[in-house]
Amino acid sequence: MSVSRHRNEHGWAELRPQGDARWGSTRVIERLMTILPRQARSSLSVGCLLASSLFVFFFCTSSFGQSDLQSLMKDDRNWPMAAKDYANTRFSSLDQINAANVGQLRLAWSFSVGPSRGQEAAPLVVNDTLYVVAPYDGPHPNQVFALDAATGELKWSYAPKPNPAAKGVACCDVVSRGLAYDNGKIFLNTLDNYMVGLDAQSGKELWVAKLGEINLGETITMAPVVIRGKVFAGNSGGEMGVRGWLTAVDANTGKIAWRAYSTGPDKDVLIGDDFKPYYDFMKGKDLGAKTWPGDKWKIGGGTVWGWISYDPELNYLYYGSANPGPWNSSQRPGDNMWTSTIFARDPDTGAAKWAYQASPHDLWDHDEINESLVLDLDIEGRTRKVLVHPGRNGYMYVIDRASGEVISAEPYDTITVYKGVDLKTGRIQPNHEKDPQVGRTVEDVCPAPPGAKDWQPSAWSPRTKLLYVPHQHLCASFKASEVGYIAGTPFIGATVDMYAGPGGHRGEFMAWDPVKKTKVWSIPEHLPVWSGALVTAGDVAFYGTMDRFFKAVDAKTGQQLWQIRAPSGFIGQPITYLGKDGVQYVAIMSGVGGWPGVVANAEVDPRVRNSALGFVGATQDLPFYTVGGSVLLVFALPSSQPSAPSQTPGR
Amino acid sequence: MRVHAGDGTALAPLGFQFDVATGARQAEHGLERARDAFILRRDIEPVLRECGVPLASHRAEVLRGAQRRSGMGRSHRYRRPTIGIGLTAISALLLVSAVMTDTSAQPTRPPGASSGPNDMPSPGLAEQPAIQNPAVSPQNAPEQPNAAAGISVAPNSGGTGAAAMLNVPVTTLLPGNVAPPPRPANPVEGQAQALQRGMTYFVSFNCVGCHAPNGGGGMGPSLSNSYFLYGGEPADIYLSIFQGRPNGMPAWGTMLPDSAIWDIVAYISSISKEPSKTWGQTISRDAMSEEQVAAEYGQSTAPWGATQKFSDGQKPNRAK
Repeated sequence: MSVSRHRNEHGWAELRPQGDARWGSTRVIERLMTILPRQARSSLSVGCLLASSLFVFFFCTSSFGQSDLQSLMKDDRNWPMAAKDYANTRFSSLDQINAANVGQLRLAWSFSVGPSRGQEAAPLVVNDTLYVVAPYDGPHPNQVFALDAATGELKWSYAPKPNPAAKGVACCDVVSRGLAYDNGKIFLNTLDNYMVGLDAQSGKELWVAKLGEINLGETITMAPVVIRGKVFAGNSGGEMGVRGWLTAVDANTGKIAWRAYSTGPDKDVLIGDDFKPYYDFMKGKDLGAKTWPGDKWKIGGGTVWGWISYDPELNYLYYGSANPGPWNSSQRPGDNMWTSTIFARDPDTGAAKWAYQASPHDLWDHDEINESLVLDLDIEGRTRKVLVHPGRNGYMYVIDRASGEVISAEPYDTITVYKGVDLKTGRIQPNHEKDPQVGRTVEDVCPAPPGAKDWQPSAWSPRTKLLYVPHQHLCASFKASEVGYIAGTPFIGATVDMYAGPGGHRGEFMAWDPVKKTKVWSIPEHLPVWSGALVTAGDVAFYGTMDRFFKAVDAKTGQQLWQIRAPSGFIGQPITYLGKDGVQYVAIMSGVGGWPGVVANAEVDPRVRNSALGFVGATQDLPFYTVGGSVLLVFALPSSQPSAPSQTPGR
Repeated sequence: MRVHAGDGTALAPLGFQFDVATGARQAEHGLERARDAFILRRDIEPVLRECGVPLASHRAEVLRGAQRRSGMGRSHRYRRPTIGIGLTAISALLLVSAVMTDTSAQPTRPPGASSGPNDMPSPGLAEQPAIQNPAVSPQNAPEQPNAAAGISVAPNSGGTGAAAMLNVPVTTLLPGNVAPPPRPANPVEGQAQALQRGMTYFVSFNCVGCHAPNGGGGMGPSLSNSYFLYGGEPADIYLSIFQGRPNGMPAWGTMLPDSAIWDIVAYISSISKEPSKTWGQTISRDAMSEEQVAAEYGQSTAPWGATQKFSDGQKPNRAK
């Protein structure tokens, strides 16, 4: 493809296909966006959305460059974003591999990304190239690799400039959850707070933007997401007294377009006149500051390190903010807005549309950064446009995605610290018998601080209408203590000790029906299930376990169909794609770690239960099964593999 | 301050320094420790600034400290309120007074790290009262270490000053097959009060957030066993704290006085005394038969003294 590399003072254009018919209109719109005042700009985008004429539609899509992301996510040869698509379904229509033949799945090729730390990243596949990123350790932390998706041949790699000190402020292993792609570019978030734009073909660095500061405890671990020409990233560091934010960066220039804080006055949270929360308790001015003592909102957490979904029709993006800090809740009386909150925002301006605070004045580190799947469900006789959000607090939320109304919130795991969600007021009901007090040990806190489910993303099959949820099943003892804030150091104030929930198992892979609000089937796992899920049109669901099994199960029944024992435990995100050879592949990173896994991949003592913020109590036996790993595993059916001299390496 | 001779001739300006002393009632050990932490964390600086007290620059303070690095083994008795300029009460918890001292005439006071010799701090961190939250916002946080509050930052023993410590290598690999230089000992090694103070600081300075209660590790490596990446001798641990280490350990020498670091070193040396006597470590279900009783059920400076059967991720049997 012939491209021109043109960059003017606005950085409008880089790597544009030459002779593109839309070039002219692109320039016009981009110039308008530069010149027009903000209000006019947003009405321009609204105008674009509402306009029905083909010409204007064409005009509008072209206004964000040659974005090919949305078409790629509809072509299941690809896996163009970590969550597969804007709805975050992690569903693929590929069906070469199905319930009848998945038992024959074999390793096709593999690749080591280097550091043997937690491998949480999702590989991306775009136009026959697979992109994957390493954790932040070793000589080349967060190294990016581009490989031929069918053969595994290395095309290029890119190593960001390292700052090993960043590892000291990463709460829960030095993970990356993946890359993003759009319009010929790969986007990388580094642990030390840089966002990098790379040429997807060559790996050449196009721009670098610094978004945060490790000396304030900030890091970035989430996979970036691209929407309408902007790359989104939020910060991590809810255990370090960080003030959370979501930042939009121009995909072409690396310039920050807007930043929405999770705490503080309305102007910082980008709350304006068009902010319409559904429930009364979230209505009022500057609640992000007033629901905190003094100026504690400045160090109050609400970081943004999970998943972003997007509804192109409403033009709303959705994400959740993390826990308030410190964990010792007595140091922050009030609702602590907008922590543990699901936000709907306009991706162009950042303006908040609605919010839902799942856990006002969170007591237990119950972030709400978990994925919100954009689904249309038939509920009580009518089609509802909803978000399905498996809450960290143990409730499966179904929320009207236009208004923020909670349609249902059913428990999906053992819950002792809440009594339910009041659908009239929208407020979760804490069980006050379990209220923490400084110096008092509260036992059997269920779910434990990582919640009934943490970041590990679920998958949705439109065929079975079921949500496949990997999650943990843990309770904890929790003792709050006073803590002082020192910038760049942990700001926690709790001694935590986790253990298996009732029944003795510590994880579960389940299928959930969000309409019937029931668990359809469940597979108990003795360790937390910290990997993501994948489901395909072959009616097979995939997930990995921390004790080194990658498993395929029947999406309808939950019956196990296949498993393989791998080099290291799984905490990664399985994906599937079609190679240029016409073969369906399934890929996942093997390498245990993350919050529950540092006991096996780092120098952490399994005999001290409170280690790793208390998670070691629940995974102290993990080193009996695995150590860290670094290997991308790619599987295919043997019959479909091209004949090669050395079949199935590693056997 | 400008000083005039009797005949009215102005003499060269004299350097003055404010020392800040605090007092706590006898037997209020928790309060005392909270106060110590408050002082060491320099939480007092914003207050002094608010009151317009001129502050010596941190760099100047460190230089002065280095010049004084000899014969400073005595701890300061805070219980005796000293004369001087009274600052208004800055907190219900604290009684603060400022003393004017001519720096050239007498050595400044060692840090507010120690309690009197007759007072055994009470065990159990949970009972200690609230440590004042400094409420430093991220915006002004970077200012924090740049100025000293006039609180003296001085070592508390001879032979452990900067020069001696510079000779301590961070590796065991020495070119020329020469003998390693001697490593200075911890001047407070094993002292019960130092261990208690070290345990308090371990929590107050948020070491516990990374290294976990009882040093099990997490964000940072474990301190509960005999393996130390950057050396496990007291001098090695001292330097790791003072200088920081490139893979994520912050450089605490910018904030903590020597005596507090040695107290923390003493505590770490104590909690790392694991029961295993083997050179290496066997990792298996059979070999790992014991775990520590978790810290929420009581903390001590010798956590390996309370163990129970390894729980395999289940709720420990001992928990009520």
